[in-house]
Amino acid sequence: MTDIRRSSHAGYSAPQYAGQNNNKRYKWYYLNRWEGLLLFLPAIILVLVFKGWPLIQGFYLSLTTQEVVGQNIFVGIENYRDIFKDKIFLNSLINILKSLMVLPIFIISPLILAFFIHQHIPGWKFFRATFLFSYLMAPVMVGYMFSFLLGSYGPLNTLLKNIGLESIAINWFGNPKISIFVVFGVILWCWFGLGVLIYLASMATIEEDLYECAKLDGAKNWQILRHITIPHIMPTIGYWTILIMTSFFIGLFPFIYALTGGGPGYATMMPEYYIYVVATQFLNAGYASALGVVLFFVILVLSLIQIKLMYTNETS
Amino acid sequence: MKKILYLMTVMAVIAAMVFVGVGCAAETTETTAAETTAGETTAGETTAAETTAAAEPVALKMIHYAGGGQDFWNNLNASFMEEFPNITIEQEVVDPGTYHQKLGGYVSAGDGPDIALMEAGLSTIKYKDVLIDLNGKFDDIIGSVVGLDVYYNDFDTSKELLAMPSASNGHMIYYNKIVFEEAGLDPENPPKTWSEMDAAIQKIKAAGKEGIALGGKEYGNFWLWSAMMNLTMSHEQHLGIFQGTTKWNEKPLSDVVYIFEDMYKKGWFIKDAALTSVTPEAQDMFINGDAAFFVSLLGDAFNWKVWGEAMGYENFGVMKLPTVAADDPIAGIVPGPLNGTIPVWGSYAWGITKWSKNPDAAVTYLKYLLRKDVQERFVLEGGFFPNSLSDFDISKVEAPQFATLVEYAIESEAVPGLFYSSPEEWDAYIRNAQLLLSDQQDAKAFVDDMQSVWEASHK
Repeated sequence: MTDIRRSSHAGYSAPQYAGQNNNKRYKWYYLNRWEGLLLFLPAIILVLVFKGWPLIQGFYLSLTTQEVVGQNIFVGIENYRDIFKDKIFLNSLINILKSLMVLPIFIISPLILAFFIHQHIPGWKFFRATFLFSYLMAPVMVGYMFSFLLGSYGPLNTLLKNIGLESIAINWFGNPKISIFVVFGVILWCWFGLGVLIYLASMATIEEDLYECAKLDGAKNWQILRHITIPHIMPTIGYWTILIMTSFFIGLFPFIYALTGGGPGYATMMPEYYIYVVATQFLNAGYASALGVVLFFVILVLSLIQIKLMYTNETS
Repeated sequence: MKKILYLMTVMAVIAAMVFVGVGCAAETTETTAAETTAGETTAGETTAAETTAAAEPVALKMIHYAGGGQDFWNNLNASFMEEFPNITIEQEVVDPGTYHQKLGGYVSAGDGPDIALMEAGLSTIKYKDVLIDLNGKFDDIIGSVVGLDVYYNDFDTSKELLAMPSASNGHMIYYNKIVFEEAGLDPENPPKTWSEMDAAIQKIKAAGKEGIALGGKEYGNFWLWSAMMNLTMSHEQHLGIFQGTTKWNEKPLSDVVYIFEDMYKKGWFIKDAALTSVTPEAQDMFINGDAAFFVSLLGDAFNWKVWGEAMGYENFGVMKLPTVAADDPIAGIVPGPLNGTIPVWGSYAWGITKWSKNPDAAVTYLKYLLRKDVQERFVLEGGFFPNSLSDFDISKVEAPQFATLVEYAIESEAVPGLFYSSPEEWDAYIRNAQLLLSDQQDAKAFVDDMQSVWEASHK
């Protein structure tokens, strides 16, 4: 068998030359390493300047307070201590936990549609042409649109009243018991298309022969989905799950902004929206930064757990 | 050889990037220093700089929510620029519901518009460190301005004047005469007492309409709240909220929340008011005749002119919040000295930011807004209320509602109600009201939470 390392980038693999005492090539090996680093350097500088520095600044800001506008007064970890007493922030984390109840819907529903499109069920061309439309709309626009559609006196309630279902014609966002789930429904409508797109891309890598064999053996769609499609796209499902979970923390802002403003009360308050309120309405950038740092680590831990689980499953 | 050339090219690119970066940084530093110097000089030497402002072309950026309509401000600014060709006005118009969030972003960044719209009370005071002191700049006209005291730092007229109102305002109720007729009520005699109001709303509901179109999603609650505080509180007690002597969970402030709860329980508000937006939802309900009342403003946005153009002046009337009496509507309440009056204050006020490079041009612009002929335009074209009631000739306004509103304003005191509160209290007030309006908590929990928010925000 051909050794890929030797056949392709001979000049980049030092050990094979070490024993040959080939000084010229050995020198070029190190020169090439520097060359690689130099080529990499602009990217490193950009990352440090535009990612690293703001992160450091953000962390520093989290150790300050702005009681006097325009002045950052160092207060140590006081902002972090306040977080544990902040019932609004803790409530927003509880709201995020509620999202776990709807997470399976976010994962499974686009998977099913993607599977049907991939299996060319009747009407699949229509779905293929339209599934991404909702994702292409600006989330704020989606928010305002549903705010109108689902308002107390909006078209949906008018329709319900006209067909004699007035009892269920409620203000969908105005009832604290259900408002968060209605918000998640709107978000699902918007993000659904992206999930379908990602699943379809992954399904396209599965060998057609497998499906042909399964069909010849008389497998039903459900069995094909369960025994062929899902096992093959497991990493993609994991990826989509991480994407959705992290988006629940840091991707809901435009929806909350346009739909409910976190209300009624704090029923739909999300951490990200609360940070915005603290920073721009309460003008407390230090505390908002501390909330942001905490949120960052919460997402980091969750993502690491998820990635660990994903790769464990893949290996097994 | 090729690799060496390649290497040299890469190094040259990196060196160029570093030089460009350093150059930009140096340029930025120089600009900032120059800006700082210019700001300090102009802020301190008004007269000298006014001459400069008049001689050299300057651009002023203003941020507001275009109360009175975008067209009005476009026309007004065009007239100003015609008269002062060296000063260009650039407007940023923001939705009222998100105005402070937008302005807060500028404050956090330490840069932004030269002139910013300010609202009375703590809403202005919270920006005190980014606003220049206007004391001494309007001495010739300051005596006749309505409700100016709420724009001084700490409400103390010996301290910095943070903003100059270009209009006056107050909270009262507009009612839909068509709905009144449909409900069998006299459209020329709106209810004056709490009991009459309750009877009227029950009749209106019996006719298949709703009572008060309350936009509880955002600032609609403030308007009602501001009007309601006059029911039980004195001027000193209003100020006491800011000073901490008037507590949320004690009379007379707590009584206002209990009355609010009573209104909700009696069905005075539209269904699902908790998350109904002021505009378009509540506003549309009032204009379309689905609801009879809309608690709103004397001038500014949602004023007599807006309703007149949308509904026809003959189809709506104006009224004060009905008066309460001892033990009516709830046991134990005592009417306050301001019961039966509306809260008024100087409004549509403008602060000049410290980062402005042209504060004197900004003063020139504000003086223009306060000029008598321009004030007439404020009223006739924008639907505002004039900032000097004693100077204004009401016969120039044909709308019959205007004269009544002037009567209300003249007999009232400058008490800005909830506008004294901190942004944390504003937010908590909206959310507590939403919870009350959706049966999630009672008035007791409301006032207790407001008191704890007050204590946290004033620690």
